[in-house]
Amino acid sequence: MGTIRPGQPEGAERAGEARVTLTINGRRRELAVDPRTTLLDLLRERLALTGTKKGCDHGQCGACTVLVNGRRINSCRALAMAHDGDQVVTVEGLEREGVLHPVQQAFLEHDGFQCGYCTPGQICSAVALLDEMRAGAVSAVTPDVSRAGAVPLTDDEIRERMSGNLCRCGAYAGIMAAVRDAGGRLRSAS
Amino acid sequence: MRTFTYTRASDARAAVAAVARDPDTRFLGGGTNLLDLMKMGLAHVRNRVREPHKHIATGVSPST
Repeated sequence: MGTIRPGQPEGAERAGEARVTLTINGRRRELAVDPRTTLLDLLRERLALTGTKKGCDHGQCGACTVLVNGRRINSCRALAMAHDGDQVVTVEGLEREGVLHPVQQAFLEHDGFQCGYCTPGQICSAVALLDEMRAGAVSAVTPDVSRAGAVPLTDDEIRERMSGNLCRCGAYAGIMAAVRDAGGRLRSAS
Repeated sequence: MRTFTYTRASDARAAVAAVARDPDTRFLGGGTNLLDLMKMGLAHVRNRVREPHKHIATGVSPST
């Protein structure tokens, strides 16, 4: 798997490795990786972007959620090589010139965390789901799937769409309030 | 996890041809948990093929 390689150029290729090009938080990176490297290990171990967390490493907890081409994925279940040419945004890439993303700000204001380990995944997931709802993507709890336009920002919808992100501290009440608030702010701003 | 080579096929036909040529080659498609099985040592794969921008049916059982 990926290893920290101090002093070695990040693109340097070793036996058995293959090249992959990714744009991560707006920066283009050309890397040589072992084909077994997951996107999560690449981010954390090679690029020291440790905001993205490894929880279960089996796609069940959501702690490793990042945005790839604007959609959320579990980076522990993605081979880095399978994302050649893709745009990746991690929790580190959400702020703009020192100003937190509205979802990040809302998590602070509503105590949307306790220990914080699941938080980067919760936030990336929330950013993506608010885009999905604005774009009209329906979920299993959408009452009327034939209705066009943005999906109403109800608690049921938020719960259903955040269900892939587990919080063992049980900060769900704060997470719900944060997503609801950020969603409302983003809609009134657009 | 044992190592493997990763091949990105240009289209579905090339992906199917790559798998047909070599019984140790597996599809990597949307929704598969092949990577989980490989992490746990339950599946070993020498080659993996991914066709860009499409999900290939994952009705291929990994060898154990």
